[in-house]
Order: sequence, then structure tokens, then C-alpha cells
Amino acid sequence: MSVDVIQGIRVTKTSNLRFGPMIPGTTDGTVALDVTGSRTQTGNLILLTSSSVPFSAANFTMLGTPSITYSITLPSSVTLTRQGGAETIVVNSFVSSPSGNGSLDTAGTGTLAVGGTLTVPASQTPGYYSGQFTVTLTYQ
Amino acid sequence: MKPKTLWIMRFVLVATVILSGMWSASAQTRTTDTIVTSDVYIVQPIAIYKLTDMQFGAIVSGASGGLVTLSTSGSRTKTGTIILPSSFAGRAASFVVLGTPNQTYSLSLPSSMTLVRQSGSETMTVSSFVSNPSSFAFNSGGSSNVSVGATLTVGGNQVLGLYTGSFSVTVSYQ
Repeated sequence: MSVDVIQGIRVTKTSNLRFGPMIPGTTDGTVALDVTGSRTQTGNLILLTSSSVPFSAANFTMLGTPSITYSITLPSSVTLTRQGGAETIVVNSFVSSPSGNGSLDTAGTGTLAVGGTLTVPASQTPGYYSGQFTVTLTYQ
Repeated sequence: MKPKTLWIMRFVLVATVILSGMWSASAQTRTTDTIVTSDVYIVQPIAIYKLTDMQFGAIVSGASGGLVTLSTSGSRTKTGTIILPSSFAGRAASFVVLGTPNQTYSLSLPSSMTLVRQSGSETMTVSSFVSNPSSFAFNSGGSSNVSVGATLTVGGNQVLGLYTGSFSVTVSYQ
């Protein structure tokens, strides 16, 4: 028999912030990924759908002290870099659900979703771009 | 007098330090940092360029006509009373498709099309389009070659002449 004693909040990430495949347009554009994982665009870029290249919001499950409250800190922006190159592309306007503050339920569980907006210049070099950012929860 | 004063001051200083420590402990906050990856695939537009048109070549229909099947390598087979002179051979349609390296794509062919005799109105139908390959993907250079054949239905004593028509091939990322 084993017991897992958690102090505070344990966060488990279940998906990364993935924008999926897309073709730049003839004008600069943006792709917003909302907390439900839906993409909406501006400009005439083409959003592609491929089962082998999924898109998703970042999702997390939380476990900890029942009813504990926490505040969420998101980055202002993150820079993704092309694999095998030096070109970059930027994600900003991060959003989350819950937004700002949240709390675990009486069973000590909770979920968090994070979205953001990718800016896609018309001239963006094709390739796979990735980067990392930190989501911070602050609680007593 | 001096040592006594000093002793009192020292005591007050120590007391202050202890109180500060207690306040810090009760106001302590904790944080949990989770590292998240963000990624995106920026993909090249897809483009198709024709290399050769489809040619069924010279055909003698005979009294009953029949079918002329053009393979994706350009060779012809026939049925019925058809004769295929070698003077004017067949040729498959061929294309190069360009896009994101190693990416799969889809290619659509028509179900059928109509050839019309120049300076006339007689027609023949082309159908059963086939392609090589039959499933599509770009190589590591972002290139893909496709050949297309089809089957021509020739009527008995088909009116002599040059019959032409055009069809579209559409490519897109799946």
C-alpha cells in the first residue's frame, strides 16, 4: 500500500499549445487558438487539418488541497524557432480558463486551459517551429 | 551604566528580528511552474505544373469501334474492331506537383470528359481516369511526379478527324 501526499497543487499537463499546419497568406495574418482549442484566423492564410498534425489548446489537470485558490501567471509572449534554422514566429495574447484566478473543487481537483495568438507574416519561411513557455500558479 | 544600556538595546534588537521572521512565515506563498511547448507547422503552398498532355494517338475505328485504353506509361491497348497504327503513338498526361517535403496530398481526376471533332460536332467520351501513383506524397525535395491515363470509347466508323478536349486536375493538401 502506498500513499501519495500532495502539498499545495500538483499540475499535470495533458496537451501542449499546438497551432497545427497552415500556409501563410499573401498578407500578414494571425491565428487565435481559444481555450477550447478552436482556431480562428485573420488574413488569407490557409489553415490545414491533418490527423497526423493536430492542433490544441494547452490543457492541464490539477490535484491538491480542496477548495484552495490560486492565481495564474501567463507569459506576455513566446518566440518559436524553426527547427534546423533561425527564423522565428511569435505567440502572444495568452488567455486561460479559468482566467486570472481559480480554485480547486471540494475534492481537490481542477482543470486549466490556455490559448494564445500566433502572428503569421506572409513571408514566413516554411518549417516546423517550436518553443517553450511557463505557466505559473501562485497559492497560499 | 554603559554595559546595562547596551544589554537592553541588544535584547530589543533580537526581539525585533524574531517578530519579523514570524510575519514572513505566515505571509509565505508557493508557486508551481509548468513548462509548456508551443508549436506550429508552416507549410509551403501546393502547385501543379503540366509536363505532357494526354494523347490517344492515331486510331482506326473499324465498323464496330471499341475501347482504347491508355496506360499511365503511355502504352495503348484496344478492343473491338479498332486498329492502332504505330505512326502516331499514345502518350499519358504527366504533371509535377510541388509542396511541403514528405507531406501527403490529394489529387482529383475527372470522372469523364468529352472530345469534340475540330471543324465538326462529333464527340467521343474519355473515362476511367487512372493515375500513377494512386496515393500521393511529396518526396524529401518537396516534389511529386504523376502520370495519368484513361479509356477512350470509339464508335463504329467514327468520323475521321482530330478530336480534342481539356480536363482539370486539382491538387490540395489533405
